[in-house]
Amino acid sequence: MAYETVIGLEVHVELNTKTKLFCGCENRFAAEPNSLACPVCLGLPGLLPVVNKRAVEKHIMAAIALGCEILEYSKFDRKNYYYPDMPKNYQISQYDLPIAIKGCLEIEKSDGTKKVIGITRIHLEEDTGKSIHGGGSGSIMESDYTLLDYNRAGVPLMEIVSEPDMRSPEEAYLYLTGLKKILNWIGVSDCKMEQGSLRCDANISLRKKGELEFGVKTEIKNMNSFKSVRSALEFEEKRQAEVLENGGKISQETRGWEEDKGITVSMRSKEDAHDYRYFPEPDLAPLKISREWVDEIGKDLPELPDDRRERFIREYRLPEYDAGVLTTSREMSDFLEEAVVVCNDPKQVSNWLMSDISKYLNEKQVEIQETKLSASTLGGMINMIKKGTISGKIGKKLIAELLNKGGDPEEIVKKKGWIQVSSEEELLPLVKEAIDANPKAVEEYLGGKKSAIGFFVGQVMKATGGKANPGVVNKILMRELEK
Amino acid sequence: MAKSQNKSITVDEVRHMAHLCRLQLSPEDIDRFTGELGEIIDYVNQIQKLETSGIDPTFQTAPLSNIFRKDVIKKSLSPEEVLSNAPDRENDYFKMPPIMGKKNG
Repeated sequence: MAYETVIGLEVHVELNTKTKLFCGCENRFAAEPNSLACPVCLGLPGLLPVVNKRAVEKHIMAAIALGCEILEYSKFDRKNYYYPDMPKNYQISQYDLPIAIKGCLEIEKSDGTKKVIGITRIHLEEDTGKSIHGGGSGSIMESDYTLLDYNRAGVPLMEIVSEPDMRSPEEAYLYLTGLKKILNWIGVSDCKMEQGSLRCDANISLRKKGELEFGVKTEIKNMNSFKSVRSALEFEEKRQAEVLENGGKISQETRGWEEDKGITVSMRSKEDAHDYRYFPEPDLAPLKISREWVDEIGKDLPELPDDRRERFIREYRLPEYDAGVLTTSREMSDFLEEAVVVCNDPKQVSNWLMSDISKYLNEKQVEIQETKLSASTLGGMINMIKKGTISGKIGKKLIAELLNKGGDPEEIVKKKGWIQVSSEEELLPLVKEAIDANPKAVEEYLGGKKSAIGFFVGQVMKATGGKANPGVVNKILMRELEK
Repeated sequence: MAKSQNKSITVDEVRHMAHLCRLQLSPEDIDRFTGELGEIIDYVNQIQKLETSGIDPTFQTAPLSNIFRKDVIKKSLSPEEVLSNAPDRENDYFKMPPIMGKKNG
């Protein structure tokens, strides 16, 4: 039987503020355990939380970038539960009046078609402490004890809830990576799944093709990479189809992804169904977010990746593909813009970034900002080629040098003796040599195969170690061959 | 004395609440609390008789909003201070019974 898969994601993203959401403890990953905690985030009696303004601003930035409606009146609520990862026995979250609702994110599938995934809401809450499950066989379900580190307790956390709009694990993967790209781009979170600054729970159900009603869903947890989200959903998609195929029923439950085994397993029984008894947080005043405040924050938002891509195509006349690749990270696209300021030649900058530089980045597995090459240096080098100071061929050697060691391109060229040879006096004897040594190619050329000239240019380039000016060589060659 | 068959709250609901709060109650306790809680709910329920259509809900009684602090780091407690009341510890971690493991089933 043919089934349709329905997926919705709940994504938690830690905001990269300097301090926690309700107290001045530093917000930092991988500090010594329990070294970033105070009476407020430890839930000791007699202290009150106070909202970090920067966290609300960063939340609003994300909401604008994701096309959300921002509520003018928003409030915090208590979510009551009994895990020790929140020492207060409740988590301060937002229930019925989140900061932002009704957003969306566009994904582009491998066949080039685009699809808009709806975002139901984005609310702000405090992160929980980090639990380490010890003993047993290493599986969370069989642990003997739990260790708690409260450094993460109280870190500002956005929960981004999507609509059940995704129809395949691939779409879920694209949505998740798209979310990471945009949140990274606007600088509100580093979105590193392996460090837990982005976490994802997935709801998945199947229904018969053509049916309108959703099937019974399961919630999948414990996926710690973008790829494992896709793998877990692929597994669960298959598992549910098999259950249904055999006449069985899906039970609504939470299932944990076990990476090493590549399976999901049931984590919680039904009697523990969520019952959080939310109520308005009496310790915090509500948020009133005015239109003016939102506009002000919007003004400081950087140009978003899709807008920048469109501009690269429109103003810089870059091919669509290049413009897409060069806006995958903000650093790369900033680099392009800065280099263009220096040399005013977007196409050349794009060519270098897409070829030699990309190849280097891939080989070394580094980002452009981690190399020794600066944007102004690349622009300067392109100017040298355009002025004829160096040949394009030498440019390739120079860029490798600049990526590895950095330095001033003019100086390097001088020191290495890479300045382009354009004088006829120096080139003529080399041209003659090439002609004399290759009578067969001469015959071909004179016989009408004009492309044979490329062969001669190559010979002269070789003789000069790539330093010959190919334009001048070409001119002399044509003259000498026609003689 | 109200009896446990009060309609405002059932014995099962009280048992469920006790479980959520991790309270161990005897059957007598549950019977007593069901009666007492029912009485309280009945009393508070009088407010439901008021005409409230067209009135915005009140979430907060203090006339305040947007109380913020700056994103400036303050000194945290030392791990020793943080753990000073911990019943059990392992290195600088709090140690506690398993959340999802064997003992909780």
